[in-house]
Amino acid sequence: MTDIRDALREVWTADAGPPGRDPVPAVRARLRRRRRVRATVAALASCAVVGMAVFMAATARYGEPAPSVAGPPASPVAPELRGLPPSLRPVDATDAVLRMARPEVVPAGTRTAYEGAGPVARLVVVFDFEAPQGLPGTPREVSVPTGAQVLATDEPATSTAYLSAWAPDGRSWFMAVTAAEAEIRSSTLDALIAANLG
Amino acid sequence: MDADEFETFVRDSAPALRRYARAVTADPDQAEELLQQTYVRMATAWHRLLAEGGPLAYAKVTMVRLHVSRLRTIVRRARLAPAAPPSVAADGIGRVDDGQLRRLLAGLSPLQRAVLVMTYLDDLDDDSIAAAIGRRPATVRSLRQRALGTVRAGLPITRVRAEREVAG
Repeated sequence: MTDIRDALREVWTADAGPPGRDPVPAVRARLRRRRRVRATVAALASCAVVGMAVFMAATARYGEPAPSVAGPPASPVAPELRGLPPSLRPVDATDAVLRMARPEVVPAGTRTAYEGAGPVARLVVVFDFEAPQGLPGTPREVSVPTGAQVLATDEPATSTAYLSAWAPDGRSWFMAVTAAEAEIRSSTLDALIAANLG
Repeated sequence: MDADEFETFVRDSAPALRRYARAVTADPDQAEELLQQTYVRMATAWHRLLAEGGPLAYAKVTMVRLHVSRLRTIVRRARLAPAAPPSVAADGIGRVDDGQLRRLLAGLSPLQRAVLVMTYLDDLDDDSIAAAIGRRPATVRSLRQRALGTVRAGLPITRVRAEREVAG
């Protein structure tokens, strides 16, 4: 055994420090503290899990699409227009209204417009129009069967036939057909009524 | 009862493990802290330790591992002021006193001190020490050589010569 080993052992085995206390109370206290910390961490973790579950449940509940209700949709998107004369093409609605002989009679609402070089020159349609008002021209009989309440007029002076209609689904329609011949105006309007309000 | 058994073990082993902790840390306050942490660590594994046997050996290895852990090293460095270099014997003659050797040991790194303790106090081989401190056996040999070099450099000449003659 070397001298340095003896010296090291002598130093290590000699009780050089202060006398040691009984470590049991300190160890007990540390274990109690450790248990408390673990219990707190577990409680916090449980709270976090429950909170997350509640949050996710609430999010899922409010994330579902709203059930459909009767009445006009909130969206201003115009419904698809059927029965359109084939010669017409979509144009800017504002410009088309301004080109009409009586733009003031076109109510506010969701407007669409079509123009073409065929027998029908222009068609202006307003969905869900506001402030329904009287129509220019002479009232005419609507012969096609329809579930909507309709008011149809024709004004030869401006070569325009008008229609205001209130459909059973709550939507309202305004149409103005411009064509040189009265028969074309009325037949076009009737076709549109049958296709969209029948 | 397991709790009674554990507390009996703590009371019985405290003197030996306290000495061991003081050897490993070279600081009585750190040794007390390390001793309590070791017992807490053992309490959580007490059932397994009873089944496997040898709780004292487990306690020593746990103590060394706790002491050389990287996190503990960082905390120790942050707490302690820069350590003064170990004082060297002024005349280099005569028998080395305990205080001088303690100061030399305190100047070693925790790993070097742990290797010396496990080598000369526990008589463990390099493989066992390497497994305990999580290093390779070659690293253990290197750590021991450097530690011994530091200690020899601080010892009086007569004592170093005697040690060399015995070793050589």
